[in-house]
Amino acid sequence: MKKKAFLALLVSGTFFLTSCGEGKKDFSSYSKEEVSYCNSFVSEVTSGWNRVCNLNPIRISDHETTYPFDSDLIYASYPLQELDVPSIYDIEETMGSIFYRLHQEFDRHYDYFHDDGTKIQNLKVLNESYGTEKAVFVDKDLYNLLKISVELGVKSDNRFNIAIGELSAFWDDLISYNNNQMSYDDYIDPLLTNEKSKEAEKKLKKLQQEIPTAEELKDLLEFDDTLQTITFHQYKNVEKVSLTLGGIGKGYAVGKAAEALSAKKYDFGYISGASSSNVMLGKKKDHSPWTVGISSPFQADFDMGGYVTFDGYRVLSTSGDSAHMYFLPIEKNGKTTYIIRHHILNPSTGESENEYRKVTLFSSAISSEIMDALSTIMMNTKEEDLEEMFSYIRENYGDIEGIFQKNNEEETIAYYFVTKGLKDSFTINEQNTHFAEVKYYEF
Amino acid sequence: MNFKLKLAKIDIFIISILTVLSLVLGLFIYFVPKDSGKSVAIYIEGKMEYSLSLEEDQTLALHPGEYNKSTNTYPSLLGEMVIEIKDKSVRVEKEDSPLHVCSKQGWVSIPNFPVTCAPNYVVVVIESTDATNFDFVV
Repeated sequence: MKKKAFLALLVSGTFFLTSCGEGKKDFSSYSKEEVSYCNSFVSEVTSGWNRVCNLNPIRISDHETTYPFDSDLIYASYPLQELDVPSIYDIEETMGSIFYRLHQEFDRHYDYFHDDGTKIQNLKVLNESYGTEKAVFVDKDLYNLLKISVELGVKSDNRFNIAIGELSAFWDDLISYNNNQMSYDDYIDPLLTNEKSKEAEKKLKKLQQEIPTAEELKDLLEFDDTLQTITFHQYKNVEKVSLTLGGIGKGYAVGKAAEALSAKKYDFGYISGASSSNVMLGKKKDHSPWTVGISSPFQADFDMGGYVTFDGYRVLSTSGDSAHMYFLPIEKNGKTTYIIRHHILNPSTGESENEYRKVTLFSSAISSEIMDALSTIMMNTKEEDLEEMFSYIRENYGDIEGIFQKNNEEETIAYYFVTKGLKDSFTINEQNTHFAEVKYYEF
Repeated sequence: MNFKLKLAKIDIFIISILTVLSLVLGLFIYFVPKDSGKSVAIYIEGKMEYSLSLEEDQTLALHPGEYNKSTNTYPSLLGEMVIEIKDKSVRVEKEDSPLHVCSKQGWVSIPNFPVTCAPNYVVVVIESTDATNFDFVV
């Protein structure tokens, strides 16, 4: 079986590699032949877990591929014996085809094509229609998700805003550039004083002026429910406004995959989208509770400071500063301190916030896409406003609990601020190498 | 009927021994430091070939060729593979495969989260005897 599994993987990998170099450049459809099988004996050596992975890259140009949502998307279940080989293929194809299709629809950078050669009306197409007054027909998933996103933007008081496409691109460039520098002297950042940094500061100020607020975006995007079209109107005299679904798209896809797998009775595992968007589909087959490790917020170490246990269905979303970031050294009173510039942006300030290192949210009632956006919203919510925010969400969306992580300046203590409802299910991991401390919120 | 429990000397002796043993065992469990017991297991073609300490910084070079454990040579490898352990983390630093999935995965320091080099038939995983095993980590 082990050999067969590997052969399947090798054969499918080889098929993909050989098939993409020639012929018609149509990479939009998801075919059975491209499904790979990444389970095999990995699970057998890791406590009997099945791990069904999404290893099918999407071709974005003649020379480049990417993974759906640039993430490892995994279905995992326990124990191993509960899934036979046909089921594993079924799971992989079911979730793989959803991730594949939705990535293409939500992508704002690349064009994709249907089997018949027509262009998929994705987010890129919609962004290109900005200011042209042309109504663009989009697929139902994209249509629905844009509506949800606009509404969340308004309800969150602009803490979440999909109109930050240009701002996001600005910070993406800085993060990539700075991560490739050997010395801090070569860094570019709006807070620094070198020539390039001054230009960056100017550009950031301009972008801050050009981003419509969530309230303004509501009027810029005209939805026609009958025709399923969207018209992206001009904002003031701004040359370019672009939408991004970076803070919600993967959550939506994970939610859709979870629905499809539950319908097929694979509801004893979980789906993980690179740990930021996750759905525990139901109870584990061995009836033991889910045990979720919450890693320490320190960059240098990935030890577990605590863990949460619970039973059954749960949506879990996390946002933090540990990925796609850089440390920016700042001189203050003769002392060098570091601030973290990361990819979770506050649309109101145009910059990333440092209120928390990481936010992890749990809910058994709120959908995966909304939870995805909520973890961004929480990262942009001051601690003194958290109680009000939780109360609003519980009233309007359903139950929600959270863990907010911080640390002291020396990075020797990891603080876990835990909401009331998790009091009995959160445990500090005594075997953690760092010192972790738990504090409980009153709400 | 009226029974009176009468303990023989041997009974008292056995009870005393058991009591002392329980106390010693209890104290041992309480005071002996808990060993996190983390090691890096390297599986090649499904068989555990190496178990390395996670506490010790080290590298292991594996080579393609006819099976010979003493020279770290394995037929399933597509090319040279280097596994590095540093600061209680492990990564596959170098390997040959079409997509380089496992070397791209980078450093791992969590038990039971494997680095999988499928085309090479190699899995690197931190194994732990810790009481707490996580189903999932965020």
